[in-house]
Amino acid sequence: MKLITFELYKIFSKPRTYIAYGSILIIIFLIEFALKASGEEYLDFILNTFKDSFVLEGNILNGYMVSFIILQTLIIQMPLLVALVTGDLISGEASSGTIKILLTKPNSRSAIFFSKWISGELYTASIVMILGIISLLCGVLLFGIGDLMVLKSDGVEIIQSQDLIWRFGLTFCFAILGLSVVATLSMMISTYVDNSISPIILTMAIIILFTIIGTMDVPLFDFIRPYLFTTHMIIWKNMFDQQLDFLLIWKSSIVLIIHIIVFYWVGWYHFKHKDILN
Amino acid sequence: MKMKYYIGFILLCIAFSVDAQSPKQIVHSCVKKFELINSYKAKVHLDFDLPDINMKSRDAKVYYKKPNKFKIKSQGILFLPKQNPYESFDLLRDTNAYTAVLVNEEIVQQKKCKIILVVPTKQEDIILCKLWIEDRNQLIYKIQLTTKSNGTILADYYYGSYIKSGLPDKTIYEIEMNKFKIPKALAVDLNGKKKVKKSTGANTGTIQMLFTEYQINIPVTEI
Repeated sequence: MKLITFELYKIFSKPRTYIAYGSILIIIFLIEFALKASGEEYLDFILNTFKDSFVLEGNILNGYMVSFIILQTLIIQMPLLVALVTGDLISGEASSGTIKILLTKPNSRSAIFFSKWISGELYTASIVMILGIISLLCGVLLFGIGDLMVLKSDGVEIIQSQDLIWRFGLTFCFAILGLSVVATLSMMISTYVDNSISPIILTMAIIILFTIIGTMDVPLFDFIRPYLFTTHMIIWKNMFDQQLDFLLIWKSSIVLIIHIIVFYWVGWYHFKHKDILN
Repeated sequence: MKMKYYIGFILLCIAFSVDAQSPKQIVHSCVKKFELINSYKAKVHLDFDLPDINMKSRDAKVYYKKPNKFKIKSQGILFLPKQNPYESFDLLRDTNAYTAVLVNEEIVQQKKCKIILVVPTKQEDIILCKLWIEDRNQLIYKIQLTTKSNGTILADYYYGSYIKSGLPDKTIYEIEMNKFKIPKALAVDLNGKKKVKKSTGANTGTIQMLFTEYQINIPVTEI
């Protein structure tokens, strides 16, 4: 516990940690302001095809929809914000030389690695929670409540407002799980290098590569796609399907947990045997 | 005996005179019957079966105020037919504003209905209005409305408890819809494979409205 508190103190004493919080808040306020100013035009453009046949009643541009749009926009940038801190957890110590002092203390390397990992996870959870709470709170205050209209390329789903809080809750939990994979991956890479930038760049490169493979409709990639963690990270969107596919959600959760275990184990093994004298 | 023939003759005359009602008179008698209603409030349960739109049933409240103010209010999002159900009454109220032609007879909901085509004489948004009217009860069982701006809409009216007032217990709207398409970048399924309920055949959707607890001719301030 003392080690975790110490690691958390180190994380929160670095200015880069606050970049994530700052950028999340700026993006939330920017999107909410933009939608408040011209959200109706945005909706008109999207719902133009329906407006020929229907009159749409109800508060469509409500707090839940605004939060959903923010979540959809920010979730793509979140891995970078996570890797910015977690990629520095071990390599940062190596580059500044403090790793030698840290490892001369009586705590085992496993305990140190675990405390760093758990601190990284807490930081990851905190940015997701801040994103969720602030976007929902501001959204509901500014735009009120109502059903959520989920826009898909070939249609829309209307989720009733009483069904939304638990769906958002599940989404944030799933986002934390997905970003935990990113945090563990960057920490694993961080054990191999002695500078802070490489783990961040490598993590992002992997995510971009996997996302491209996942997005491209090439039959060759069909075989690889189910094994990529990026494929499962975006399953949060399925929380907003009228009929929840629990099997798919469980499967993706298990795949993500396996990724965390593997990345953790590789990172821990390398850290345990890391030669800090050279 | 003579009296019997006399009564029979009178009844025959009445029967012929009823049958001899012009299409315009039939339409007008339905309108007149509905004109007795100044306002109403009711509860409505809506069921949606719309291609490309996946949504659950909803409960709402419906308000009507003479001559054609009609509003459905709900706490959530509703997809409602663009044509107000009483829009056609604006046209039908003025007998000089249209030409009515009796084209056929058809059994609708086990009722013998007259099919009357109503063509506006002036330039209107409504191009054609096809009515299925049971003239004995002066009730419209079906309306097909073709408009310039919103295409064609078909409404089926089912009567029950409020038949005397000419108010339906159930209405089913069949609506022509455009294919929904938005850019993938604006949608949430960048690499999604799941599809929303697809249309089968023609792109038409239905909205069913079940009305209960009508409160007729009471002050309506909601619209």
